[in-house]
Amino acid sequence: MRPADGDKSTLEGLYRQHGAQLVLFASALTGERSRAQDMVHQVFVKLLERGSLGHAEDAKAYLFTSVRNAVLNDAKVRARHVALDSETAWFDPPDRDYAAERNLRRAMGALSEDQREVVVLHIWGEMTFFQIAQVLGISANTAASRYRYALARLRDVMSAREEPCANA
Amino acid sequence: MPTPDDDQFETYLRQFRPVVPDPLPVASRPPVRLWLWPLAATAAVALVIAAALAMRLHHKPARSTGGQRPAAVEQLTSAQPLTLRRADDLLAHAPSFEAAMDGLAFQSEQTQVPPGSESALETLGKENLQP
Repeated sequence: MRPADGDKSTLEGLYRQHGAQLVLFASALTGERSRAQDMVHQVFVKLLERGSLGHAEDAKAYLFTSVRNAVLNDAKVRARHVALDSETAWFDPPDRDYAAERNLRRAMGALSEDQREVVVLHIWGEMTFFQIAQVLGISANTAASRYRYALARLRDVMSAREEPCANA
Repeated sequence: MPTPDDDQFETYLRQFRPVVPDPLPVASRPPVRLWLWPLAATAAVALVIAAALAMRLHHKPARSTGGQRPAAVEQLTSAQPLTLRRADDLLAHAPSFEAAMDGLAFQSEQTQVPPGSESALETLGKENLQP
């Protein structure tokens, strides 16, 4: 079925609005930004072929769930332990501080996959714990708990790197 | 329970913006609107017809009422060689397409060889061809 122009433009609008967050989320799961981008594209291409989001009430949560399923179904990702690609930047850092960007990615790599998912969804996906619970199939309390542990760990790892620089 | 430190750290983290991905591969292709094709074809045909009519009306002066051929046709039938430019000029100034075609058709009969020269046909006629 060919999508109507309205549905197509809606999906393209959703990609413009959430594409960067979705690719970041997929990167946190796959460890590779290029693979993550391919997967997000695949999800949108399928949706464009189908014509719409169907009866999804929360389009954003639906998109994150679809991307997560696509990543988890990918045999190449399942077959290996995810190590974050250290070459490609995931973020545009404030004040072009690329050392801080690398530090953030390094700290993200120190989190467990579960924690990384929750951090990305809450901070950069701007999702509530209720929405995160929907995407991950867990309770909102579990999502909030994982987030608190993840944030503390992230801060520890990032500050451990920054301290020697601050003392220098 | 989040602490003020957590809020501050979250604010710091949010300053890092996720890198914008490449555009969707399908989005870069312009949409094909099939229903526009017949419309575009009709418009193109109408445009060509309108242009042809406009050219014809523009090049067609008022029809002369006399029974004689106008000067333009006389020019065509002169001894000057027929060129595309002259033919075009004649078509532009002839009272009608038929008159212009008449002029073109009869021109060759009235073409005269300059004095002291002979036509190629005459020269060939003098050749003594051996079988």
